Amino acid sequence: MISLSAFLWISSLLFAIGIAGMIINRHNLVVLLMCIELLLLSVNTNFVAFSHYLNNIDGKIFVFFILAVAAAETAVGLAILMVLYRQRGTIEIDKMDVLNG
Amino acid sequence: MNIVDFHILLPEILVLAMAALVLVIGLFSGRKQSSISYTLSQISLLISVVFVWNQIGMPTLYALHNMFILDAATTLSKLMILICAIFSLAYAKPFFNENPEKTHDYCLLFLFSVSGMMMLVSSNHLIPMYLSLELLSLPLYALVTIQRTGMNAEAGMKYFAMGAFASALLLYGISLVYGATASLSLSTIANSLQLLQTQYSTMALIGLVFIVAGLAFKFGAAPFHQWSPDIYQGAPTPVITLLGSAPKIAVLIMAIRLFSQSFVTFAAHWQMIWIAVAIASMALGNIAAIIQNNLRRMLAYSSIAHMGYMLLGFVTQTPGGNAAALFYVFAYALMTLAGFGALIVASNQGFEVENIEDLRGLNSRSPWIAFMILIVMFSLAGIPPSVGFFAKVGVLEAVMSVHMTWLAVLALIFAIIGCYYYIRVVKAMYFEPVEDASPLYSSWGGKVILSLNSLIILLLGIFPSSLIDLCRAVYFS
Amino acid sequence: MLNAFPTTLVVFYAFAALLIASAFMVILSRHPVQSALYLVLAFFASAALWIMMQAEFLGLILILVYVGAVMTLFLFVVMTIPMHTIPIDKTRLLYIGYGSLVLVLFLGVMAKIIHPLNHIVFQLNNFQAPGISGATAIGESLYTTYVFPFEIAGFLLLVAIIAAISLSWKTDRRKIINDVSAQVNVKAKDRLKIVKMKAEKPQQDSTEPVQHD
Repeated sequence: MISLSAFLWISSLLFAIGIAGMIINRHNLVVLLMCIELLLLSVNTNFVAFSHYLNNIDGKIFVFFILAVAAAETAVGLAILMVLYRQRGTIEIDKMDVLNG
Repeated sequence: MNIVDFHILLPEILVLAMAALVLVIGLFSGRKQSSISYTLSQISLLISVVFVWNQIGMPTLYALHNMFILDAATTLSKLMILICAIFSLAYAKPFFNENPEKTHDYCLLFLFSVSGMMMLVSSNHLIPMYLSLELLSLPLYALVTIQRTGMNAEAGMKYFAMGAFASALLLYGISLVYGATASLSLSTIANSLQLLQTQYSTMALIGLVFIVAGLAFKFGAAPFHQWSPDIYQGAPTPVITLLGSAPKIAVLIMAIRLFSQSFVTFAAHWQMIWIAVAIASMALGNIAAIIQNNLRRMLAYSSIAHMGYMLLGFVTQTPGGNAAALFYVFAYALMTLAGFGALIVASNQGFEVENIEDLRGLNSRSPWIAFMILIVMFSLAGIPPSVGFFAKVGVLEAVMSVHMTWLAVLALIFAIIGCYYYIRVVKAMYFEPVEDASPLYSSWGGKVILSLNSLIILLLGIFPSSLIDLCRAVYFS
Repeated sequence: MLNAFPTTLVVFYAFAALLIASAFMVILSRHPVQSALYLVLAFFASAALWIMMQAEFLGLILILVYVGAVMTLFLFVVMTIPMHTIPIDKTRLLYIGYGSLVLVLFLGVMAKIIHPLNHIVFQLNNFQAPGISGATAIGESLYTTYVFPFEIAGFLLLVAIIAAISLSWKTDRRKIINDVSAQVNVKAKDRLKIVKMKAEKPQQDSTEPVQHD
């Protein structure tokens, strides 16, 4: 049968891909938001796996809330992105340098 | 929910209900009556202060299946959060006069964010803790972008990306801790961590590291600070008075609850990580602030440094240390409010205070405002007799009491380096010539609020013992 | 022997491979539309994995909420904003190098956690007691034990609506707005200004008709 560690490997690989994606992609803010979705997907997979293994409902409830929050967060993030695009005409990360960070 | 629960939850319910009321009234009132939502929001915050005041002295109470906790720490910090919110909203009045069409949205998002802070302080379970952290941050992302200029949007996008990444880190850490302990309730986690099997201890430990990283992001502490000066520079000034002050109080209370209650078994480990974060913040904040010419960026780096000092109290893991950190964050919240408030009061039509040179010769133009800024700068620098001085002394005393002299010496050195850039502002105001000596035009309301805020800082500097005693009473019961 | 064929294992590894491959494609694709579509595929694959872990309600919610709503939102934005294919140049290869370094480091740390748990094996098909579905179990605790976070989540969604509207509301569009309350409240004196002045006689020169030749 399938071991818990298989699921943990999948979720940690997803998390690592999400972080790597935030580093690799310097061109497009939309892809940055997608990487955040990948991170949350990895967290959710972790919770579902632990919840199933521990036979404990709390983890699944947390997943439910994370899904709700992530949807809300994405809506706000994309709204800010649209404002940025209207004002600047670009959504490249490298061009967010008017505020010199 | 029985009537006892209702009584405990009254301040939060009030703020949320009033937010709903402001939403409806905002929809049906025209643009000309935009000040009605401002007035309503202020009233709801004031009534909420009264309700929280009535909760002082209550024993520790739990509500809603032990997910909501009411104890001395929550009552005191909610009081401070509400006071900061009232000041911050009052500072935003000139903004509302200039942008009447934004008033409804601003007030609404403001009230939701404040209610998120209040619930974060009272959460006794990781799920409501995460959700109220999000309820705190989501309105702030939108508030930073509310004027919809390019600068606003860039600051908002950076704040959003940083905050969302921090939440993801925090959640990943929580998921690992959940896997190790099979629980999400703070008290149960503490028990299961004590009985942890060895194969799970690495998992809980790595989870802890992720949680620390996520919280350090939320504090804006180094090395997770990259974009915070940009946010301070690009966001509307009234919004910074909120996001620089009250959320830090709420996150500190959450961190103390989480680390010294749930993760007490791993205290030796998280102490090391937080000490590293604190040293990095103090060093980077103080040194980077020296080369800043923009006042907002300077105050942003100063905020990073102050978060480092505040964490010093927290890492000692003693009740005295926690009390010192609490006092520090209260003092810092009042100082940062006054600092950015002074920027709002000193800037008006056509004249925006951005750089340190803009304050040149302020003493000859408006001596009263210059004096208020002087108090704030001295307090931020930690020069006696100001509240900032006693806050630093309290933190250093706590560090000395656990025999970490080297850390105290390091903190002192960075504090002395930090004095330089605050003094530079004072020097510009008092000793540098000015080309245009006409007095600043500023509204009466703004001046009164700024004076009140600065005088509270001065009074707390002269008589600090009452607030110190309150903070100590929280953790020495 | 049909019984010996490890159907569950095969299905599991197929979806796991699909998930990881599409996640890689999300970050390596050169056009955001491709990234978005690969993200949809990743959500489908992980929904399948969740369903194998008896989180069938959550798996369906993932598809409904994410694929149905969130990814549609993403695609709207991707379609609204003109985007071009990312060129493969030196800097991109450099960042890919950094990214893979972080990936390897992260997995190295995680190996330390996961390795001690290798022996833990669970049955993927030990179904719960008949009559209690996952949705019922989640629903029951959601409305009792977790009522406090449930309320906060409700307010969070409200905040998201308010924030999104207040950020994307176009005030600068040139349109005619009928302000009903202003129309109702208007008084006669706002519209018509009666100015008292003495009667004047028309002057001869100015009222003279223009002569046309």
